[in-house]
Parts: sequence; structure tokens; C-alpha cells
Amino acid sequence: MQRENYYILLDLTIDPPENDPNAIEAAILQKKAEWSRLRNHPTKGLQAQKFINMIPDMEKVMRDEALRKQEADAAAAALQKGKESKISEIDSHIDILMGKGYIAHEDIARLAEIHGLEASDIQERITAKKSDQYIRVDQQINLRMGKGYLTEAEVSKIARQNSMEPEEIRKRIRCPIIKDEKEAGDLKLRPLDKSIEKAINDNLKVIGKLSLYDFLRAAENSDLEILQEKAAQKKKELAASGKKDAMVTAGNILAGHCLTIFKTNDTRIAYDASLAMAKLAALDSDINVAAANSTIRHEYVDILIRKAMKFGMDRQEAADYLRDYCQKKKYRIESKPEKKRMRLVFAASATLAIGLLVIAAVIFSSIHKKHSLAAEYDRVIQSVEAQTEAEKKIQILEKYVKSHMAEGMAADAAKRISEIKSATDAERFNRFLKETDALVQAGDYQKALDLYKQKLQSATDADSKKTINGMIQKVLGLSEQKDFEQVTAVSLTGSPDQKMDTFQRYLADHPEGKNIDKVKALVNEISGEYFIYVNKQLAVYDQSEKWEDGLNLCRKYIDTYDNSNSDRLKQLVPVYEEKIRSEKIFAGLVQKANALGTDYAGALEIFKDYLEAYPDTSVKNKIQKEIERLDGLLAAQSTEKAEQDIRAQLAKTGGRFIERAGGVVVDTKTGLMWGIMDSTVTQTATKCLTYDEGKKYIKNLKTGGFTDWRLPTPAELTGIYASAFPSTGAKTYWTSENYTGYADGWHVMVDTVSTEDSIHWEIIRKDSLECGAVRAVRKP
Amino acid sequence: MAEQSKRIFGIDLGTTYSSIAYVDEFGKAVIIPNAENERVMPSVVFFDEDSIVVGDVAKESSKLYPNEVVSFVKRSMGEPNFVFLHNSEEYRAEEISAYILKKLAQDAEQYLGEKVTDVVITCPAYFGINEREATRKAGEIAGFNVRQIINEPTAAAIAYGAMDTNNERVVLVYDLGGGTFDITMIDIRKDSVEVICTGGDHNLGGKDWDDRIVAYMVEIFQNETGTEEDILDDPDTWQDLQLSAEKAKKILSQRPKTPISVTHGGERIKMTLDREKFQEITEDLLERTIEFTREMLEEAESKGYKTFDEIILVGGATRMPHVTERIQEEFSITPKIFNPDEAVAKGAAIYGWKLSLNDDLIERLSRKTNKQIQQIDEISEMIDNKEISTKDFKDAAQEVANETGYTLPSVERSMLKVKNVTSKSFGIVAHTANDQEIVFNIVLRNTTVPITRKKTFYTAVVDQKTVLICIMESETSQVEIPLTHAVEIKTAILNLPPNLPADLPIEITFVLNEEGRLHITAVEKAESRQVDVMVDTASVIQGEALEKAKERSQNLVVH
Repeated sequence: MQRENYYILLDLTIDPPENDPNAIEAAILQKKAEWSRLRNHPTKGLQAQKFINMIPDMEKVMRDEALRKQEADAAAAALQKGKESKISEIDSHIDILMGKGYIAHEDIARLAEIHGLEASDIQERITAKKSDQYIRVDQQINLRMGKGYLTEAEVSKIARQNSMEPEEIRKRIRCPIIKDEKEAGDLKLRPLDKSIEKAINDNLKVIGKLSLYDFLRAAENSDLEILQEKAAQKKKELAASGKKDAMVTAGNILAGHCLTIFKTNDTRIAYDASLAMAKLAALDSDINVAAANSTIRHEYVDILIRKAMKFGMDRQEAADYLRDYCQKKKYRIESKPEKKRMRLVFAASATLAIGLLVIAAVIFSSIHKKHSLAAEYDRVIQSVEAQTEAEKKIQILEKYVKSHMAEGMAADAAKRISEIKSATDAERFNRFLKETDALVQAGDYQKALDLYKQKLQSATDADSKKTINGMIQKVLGLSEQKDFEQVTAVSLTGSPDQKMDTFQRYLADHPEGKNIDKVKALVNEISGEYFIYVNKQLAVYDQSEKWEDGLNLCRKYIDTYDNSNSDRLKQLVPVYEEKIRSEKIFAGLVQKANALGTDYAGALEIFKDYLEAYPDTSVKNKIQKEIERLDGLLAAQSTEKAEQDIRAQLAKTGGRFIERAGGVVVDTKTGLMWGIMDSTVTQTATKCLTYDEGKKYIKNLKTGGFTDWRLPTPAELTGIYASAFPSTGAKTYWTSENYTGYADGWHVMVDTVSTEDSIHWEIIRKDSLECGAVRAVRKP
Repeated sequence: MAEQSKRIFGIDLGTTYSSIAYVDEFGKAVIIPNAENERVMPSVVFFDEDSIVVGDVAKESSKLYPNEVVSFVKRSMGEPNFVFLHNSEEYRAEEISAYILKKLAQDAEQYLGEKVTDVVITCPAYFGINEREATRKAGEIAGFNVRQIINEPTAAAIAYGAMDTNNERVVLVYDLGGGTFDITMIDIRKDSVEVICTGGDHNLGGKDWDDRIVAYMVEIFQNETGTEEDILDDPDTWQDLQLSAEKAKKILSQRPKTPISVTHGGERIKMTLDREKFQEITEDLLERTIEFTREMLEEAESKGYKTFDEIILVGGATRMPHVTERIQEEFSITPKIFNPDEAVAKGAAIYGWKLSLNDDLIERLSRKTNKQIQQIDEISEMIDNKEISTKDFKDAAQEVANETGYTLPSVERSMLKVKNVTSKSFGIVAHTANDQEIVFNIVLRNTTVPITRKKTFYTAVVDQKTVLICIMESETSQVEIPLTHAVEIKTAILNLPPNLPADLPIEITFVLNEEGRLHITAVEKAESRQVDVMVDTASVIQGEALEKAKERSQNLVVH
């Protein structure tokens, strides 16, 4: 497979070739980065990886003067002949020829040369198809397989056409054969998913193969087992290769596809159907090319029909196909003179064959050299005429003139160049006028005007300038008219701000418009109405603290009018300015505070200081909110710290207490679950709880998502503290044991677990109104 | 508690997600969540103006700033021509990976309040020398002391084995990660974890499944809107689809179908993807993993392992239900899904923990036996050889146990042996009798490492100054293979002393260590002189670029 040209791949200029080492290095780096980015693209990733792998060679070639020159020459050659596009054209043509079956040895050699393959490779592909006759049969079958099945009628038709037994045809068919179209609905065919089809084709492109059969080097009618075997073998082959480059990766992916597609007959039929459809797509593209002006000339009709027949259709089918396709695409088919039909057909196919040879000759003759001057010039003219783009024509001719300064044909070539140039200039100008006219018609005056002005600057001849100036005047008039119509419409029905906007836009866009006085009068008319709007709007802005918007609105009124209303608004301007200033200061404070990160205490200080210095600031409310927020954060932070302290202590208990998600701890000895935190940590506002508050606290507790927390018994509580359960500093914990101290039940005593030194804990009975803490427990 | 032994962290540096773990005070491996409280963090780096953002935020940013975000960088490890351009600075895959490591460590430090210095990093078993070297370099750029690079399936097996140490068994680790696929047969024993055989593809992973969904979405979009434009040319659309595809895949692992939408150029198409379609468009990928598994089993059989006891599934992509179904169908055994996202990091942490306990043991033994620390390497071997008495060992182990608070058995078990195999064959370019260039493999793949192999070469001419040795990596088990089947990884130049005769034998030694890293020495045989060998790893960041990357990384805080 021929590799990509580096000049083209790197987007370097070719005529004259880029030779600046810095520019080339920069281009390589740029492309390297681009391909690296595309390295993981879902569909282009492999292509990018292939290019990345080419970089070492690319660097070698582009850094070596001689190799680089060779590369530039090749690039120029490829570009001028439009080689790549031509080759694919020939490819498709020769594919058809090969389908016919009668291919001469010379054809094979040429095919091989074009593909850069060995002649034996081509030969192998051809012989793989057993016999010439079968090729045609297979083609006819394949074409019809596109729909996923064949009907009995089709089978016998193919048999008849090839004078073969239907049985023999059936043997070659790999999809279901049904009685008639009615049965098709019952088949439940699953077409190959389009995205898989695309993935397969993308990867085939990377390794330069035509189909999965081609990839496995197997005939299209091979048995499933053989294909499976070949796929597995292919995969092993690829695995053996140490280079994991794009080609191998693509091969691996394809082998994977082969393993699944050639697993069952259904999936294989689906793939074959998609292959058949792809072949028809090639025919479609030929029809599209022929239909230059949505009309197919009668000369082309026969060529296309012949071509369709080469895909395996019979004449009637081909004609039907062409007709249906053209109907769908809305192409007109020119009717043909009836008498000369047969001869035309022959002439057309002869033309096709000759055309192929000519094109092939143009491409390969440069290798075989030595022609007379006249013949060479003829060839130049031929290749010029083969070009559709004027620029390329000129390029070719100019190159000829340059290299044949003194010779007779150079003058003719120069003349042709100037002819082409003036023709293209005129054509371009006409196209420009047409395009801009379309914009004007569509009402896009501004864009049209921009284009005219641009053109006016680049235009050189007086005629064009005059035309353009005329157009500009015309469009200006049209645009003014349209805008004034809008002004009139809005002045009747619009809201005050719409009116103001429309009027002012008119004044700005048409400083010399013919209705300018009328519009100015309209502006003056709405001064009162607009002032009322401004006031309403300012109230809205004040509400949402959009000071900047308020200021702008005031200024807009002041700039437009000079009356008592504008004087009133002028007094508002400094007020707004002050508010904006305060807002900025507040933003500054927030930024400063944010910069401190989790130092919430420091941040709190900043806001408090400012409020102390400017107690009447207009952002007082915001600052107070910020202070509240930070207070909350500070509290949360201290809780977190306490939590970490406790965790560290828990770790020292030798695995007796194990932390679980959600802030709970499990005692591995008793199986009880405890909250990591006690009420002194979670209750930030009051560290002290009375017994009743403690009970309420436990009722509302939802630590770890559990709601069945309870007060511990004295034994449970002393049990954990005797085993070095971490202390939070609380000296007294309420337990579930309580006693009514007096007969009237008013006075309640509670057993607490208390300590003096956070190490030794004992059960002490205390008054329920005393200060205590709660540590919650539950039985999981 | 007395002085803590040095903590070694385990890092799973994945293609799509990464995580860090350590072994806590109770000897249990624990994943450390990052600052965003995620247990696994997307391996995505976002170059935001002048700061670097890693993780979920970076991944979300890929939709808005597709050209400033790097994902899947692991797939380009060891690729010399991968480069990311930002503000006209060039970044290699190693450096970008270093940012991911840095973020993991930074957040872990914050969480634990202790510095992360020593790490064990994992890589796919299938990584070659260059990729492994690149992984190590990434750790160094991030500023770590990289204690060891271990294989992901080995790490998973260690984590798995750590759960239940009594049961000796042969397991198949089917590791389908975000970007790579590894299939490994591991023999788990009481005191060792031994890799028997390994295979896989480092270009096959969950991302490929995502890519298929992307292609499918594009197809539907084109059908519905009639456009022929390749909407993936638009980087915003590409990233958007890539993220939705990943989401769709995850949903389809839970539910039978998912709605997806494609927005491009002001058009929006809604569609539904069902599990059946998803399986259809990805069937060939799954088939490839099965094919790799079959091949690996064939190779294992030749090493005498004809059966296995269980299959464990590792890697997030194994959550797709059809993976389990297909494996069950193929091998008639119900695979165990084992902690797919976390097993690798945890295993690495356990391995690191054992390394550090082993360090302590050696230090103590050296004091007891008056041997140099360097002299004690394989403790169990030395006990077997009576170089260390069982009593000394028991005492040392008890001391370590007392000091660290871990149980005695776990300290004793820290001598767990991990035996690995090389996933590639290594050889050199040689000439056959009829002067054809071939690759002569000196170390074959799936050989247990460490291994030392020697091969004798002969000088060609009188007074030969240098010998150029091309070291080649390949994936076959044959001894002689054609050049095209191997890839050059290093070149070594032997500088010879002057005035040597021709045909002088030179013995080249290949030493492949536990990590699969290659060292080469050469001895000139006639006078037994050691000859200088210069070895450079062809495609890994080095020299000035490495220094620059280290410097950049040092002054950098990732977010």
C-alpha cells in the first residue's frame, strides 16, 4: 500500500515547496499534537495512531534535504494530476471489468501496478472465484441478496440467463430462498447495524482491503467453517506480530468482526447484504456524476445502463433501477433517438474503454517518457481539459509556459491562460452578484452590504466598481425602507423600550436616511412615556440589585433627552455609582476571604472588621449573611476536627471498636452500635442538656440513617469507657436509669456516668435538671 | 505505639479511573476517597488556564473545553510521539499521568494527615518494557519513591487471596478495564501468589464499548436529520457523545434500556438504546476477549495447568451482564465478580504493606544475626538454608508484631512470595547461516521472572571497537522469528577494548527482574573483562525533558 505524502499530510505548501526547517518542525509538532488529541477518537483514533507511528519516518524524510525534495516532487505530481481521485475512479471501472470475467494479462499487470500489489495477489483474487461463468452468476446473486433473500422466480431467471440448472444456482446462494415476496415479511431479517458496517469499513480502509473476504483472502462463497478457521488463524497471526501499530490493531478489530459475522448464517447474510448495497452505492455515485444539471443526457443513459448490467442486473432491471433512482433524486432523463440505439450502445462502451485507457495512459506515461513536443503539448491540453477547476488548469499551463519559454506552443499556452483567467474572473463576478442578490432577496441587507464593500476594495476595473456602487446605493435604499417600515409599525404598537430601541437603531444605521426627521420627531414624542418606563424599570433593578443596569438606563435617557426628567435622573447617577462601588468592595472582601481557604476564623475577621469600620454600608445585609454562613462553617469544621480526634483514639483500642459508614462505631465485643459523636459535639449552640432535652435529642437523632437510638444503660456506658472509648471532654452522661425523687413526681433523679479526669468513670446519681451530655446507642 | 514503619501506598493508575489504597491499623486494605469524596477518580486531566485540574471536574470540563482536556492517556504510555500541547508547552504521557498520581496522593495526604512518599503502582500484565518504564517515570515525576510496579491481575489476586488464606486454588483473573484487557492464570497458595500465564490486549477495554455506542448514536443522528456531516469532527460533540455513551453503558448494565440524546448544530435527536442492540454492536469485542482466554488456556496447558478452580472478574467493564453470561456459556463456570473497581488498588496496598513489614523484619534480623541488611534478601530461603535460625526469625517477627500492633501471623505472612511471568519474549537481532536477519529470542514469554539467561556472541573483525545490540520485544513463544514480528525496544552498544582478535566470544546476559525490567551485562570471555554496556530505553521520557517535567511537577498543585 502506498503511504500518504508527507507534504500533503502536514498541510505544507507544495508550489513552491516549503523548505524552511523551522516551519516544517512547527508543522510536525502541530500535527503530532493534533493526532495525539485524536488518538482516542471513537472512529478516527486508528487513523491518528497510524499517522503517529509514521512520525519517525516523516521526521527522517523531512529533515533530509534530498529525501524532502523527492517528497515535494511527488506531492506536486500527485496534486497536478489529481492522481488520487483518478486512481479511485479507475479502480471502480476496473472492478467492473474484472466482474465481467474477461480480463487480459495486461489488465492484471496494470491493476497490480495501480494498487501497488503483486500481480499474483490480483490473480489469486480472480482464481478464488473458481470460474468466469460463476462470477457473473455470483454477481447476479449478490445484487439480489441486498434485500436479504431471493425468490424462486429470481433463481430460475438467473438459471435461464446463464443456461445453468436452477439446482446449481441454488448451491451458490447463501441466503434464504422464498416462494414470493409475500413471504418476505415472515423472514424477520436483521440487517447489519450501520455503525458496525461503518466500523468495518473504516478499519478496512486503514489496512487497504475491500471486504472481510478480501481481508481473510477467502472467496466470497467460502463455507462458514473455513471462514471461521481463517479468522481464528488471522487473529493468531496478528497476535504473533510484536508491533502493536494501527495496522495490527485494525486487523485485530476486523478479526473480531469476522469471528462474530461468520459465526452464523444469519449474520453472514446480513453482511453480504450490506456488501451488495455498497456496490449499488458505487452505481448511484456514477449516476449522480452523470446528472450534472439534474438532467441525464441520452448519451449517458446507455453507459449507465451498461454499467448497471455489469453489477449483475439485466437490461430491464437496469433501466428500472435508473428510472427509480432518478425519480427519487428528481433527475430528468433525456429521451433518446430510437433508431441508433444499438450502435450507440456499442459506441458508448467503446468510449468507456478508450476513456479508461486514456486516463491510465495519462497517469503512467510519465514513467515511460520521451514524446515529441507537440504530443506533449497535446497531452498538457488534454489534462487541462480533464480538469474542472480553472485554477488547476492555469497551474498546469503556467508550469508548461515556465518550462517551455522559448518554444512555439508557449505563446498559445499563455493565450489560453489569459482566456481562462478573464473567463473565470467574469464568471466569479457574476457568481458574486448572484450570491449577493440572493442575500438581498432574502432580506439580509447587512451581509450583502458587507460583501459589496469588501469587493469594492479588491475590485480593480472601473466597470465592476460602478456596478458595485450602484448595488450599494440600491441596497441602502431598500434597507432604509425596511427599517422605516419597522419604525412605523413599532411606533403604533410597541412598548416604550421597543420604540426607543427601534428608533435609535434607525438613527444609528441610517445617519443620512430620508426619513430621519420623522424618526427624530417620534423620539421626542415619547419622552414622557419613556420616562415612566425608565422609572418602573429602575424599581425592578433596585429590587434585584442590578445597579449597573440602572446606571446604564439613566445614562441612556440623559444622553437622549435634555429636559426636567433627565435632570432628575442625573441626580440618581452618583447614587448608583456609590452602590456599584460598595458592591465591588464586597466582592473584594469575598475574594480575600476565599483566598484563606478553610481558615474560616480569618475570613470571619475580615467581614467583621469591615462592618465595624463602615456600619452603614449599603452591603451590610450581604456581609451579615456572609458572617452567618462562616459561623456555620466554623462550627462544622470544629465538629470535623473533633471527629478526627476521636477516630485517632478509636484506632488505639486494638480493634475492639470498628468505625462504619455514617458516623457510627460498632463494639465488636458487645455488638452494640454507638454514635462516634456525643451531644457536646453535635449540639454546637448548647453544650449542656438537661435530662429532658437529652431524651428529646435522642428521639430526633438520625445518625447513620438509623432512628432507633436510645439512651444507654449505666452498665453499657461504663463498659465502653472502661475500654478506653475516646472522650470528647464531656464530664457527665445521662443514662436510661431514672427515679422519681419525691412522691409528687416533680423531682427526677437520674443515674449518670461521670468522670473528673476523663479516664476514671463512675455511676453517680444526679438531678435531671443538671448539665449533662448524651451518647446514643442502639442494637443493630 | 512505637515508631511506625514506613507506609507504602498502593495506586491503581487506570485508563479511565484511578484509585489509591493503604492498609489500616487493623491490617485491612482501605480505599482512600479523594477530596471530592469519590473512591475512584476519573483519570482525566484538564489544563485550565494556569492550573491543572484532575478528576471529575476535569471530566465534566471535557464537554466545554475539549481541547484542553486529556483522557485515556494510559493508552499512550511509552509512545514517544504522543504529545499534548498547551500554551505552547509540550507534555508527554508520563507527565500527564504524574498529575493524576499527584492528585491521588495529595488528597490522600489531606485525608490521612500523613505524607505519601513510597508507592506501589500497578500496570496491565500485558505492558511491555517501555510502558512499564514509562509508568515508573510517571511516579518519579510526581515525586514518589516507586517501590515496585506490579501487574494488575496479580494485585487483584493478592486482594482476593487476602480474604481467605487457607484455600489453595488456581484462579483465572479476567480483567476488563477501561482501556485494557488482561487474562491471567494465577496459582494462589498459602505463602505465594504465582502467575502461570498471561495474555491480553492493551487496546481493548470499556472505552471500545463506549465507542461503539458513539458510532451508533452518530448513525441514528445522520439517519434522522439526513445530514452526511461527520458530527464527530466537532470536538464538543465528540466529547459530549463520549460522556453520554459511557453513561448509557453503565445504565444498560443495570436496566434493559436507556434513553439517549444527541445534540449537534442546533438539532437534537432522542433515541432509545436497548441492551439487545448494545450487545449486538459490541459482540465482536466480547468475542475477542474469549479468544484471548482460549489462547492463554492453551499455553497454560503446555505448562501443566489443565484446569482452574474459579474465574474472578476484575475491572469496571465486567459489570456488563453479558460478560458474565458469555463466560458462563464458554467455560460452564459461574464467574465471581470481585470488587471490580477497587481490587487492584487494594491488592497493591497489601503488597506495599508486606514490603514494608518485610523491611522491618530484615532490619531486625540484621541486628540479631550481625549480617549486613544487603545480605538478607530472601528470608525464607535463608531459613531453609539454616543461615538464619528459626528462633531468630520468630523473635524478630514477634518484635515487629509488638511494635506495629499487627498480629504475629500477618507479620510472618509478609514474606508472601509473588512470582510473575514476563508477558513478552525478548531477544536480539542475529544473523542466520545464510546471512538473513532474524530475531533470536533469549527469554520466551510466560517464563517465570526473575530470570537470567546467557548467550554468547562473537566479534566479526579484528580490533572491533563496538558491538551494536538491538534488543527486541515480541509476543510469540518461538525462538527464531522474523524481524517484522518484533519491535525494537532498546539498543545497547558494547565498547570493546582495543586490539582484540576476530571471533572473540562475548557473553551477553539478560537479567529480567520481578517487575519485568531488563538489565543487560556483557563479559568479554577471553580475559574475562567486564565490558561497558550502554542501554537506553528508546521511547520513554528522559534527559532534559524528564528534568523539565520533574521541575514543573514540583511547583505544581493539582486541583
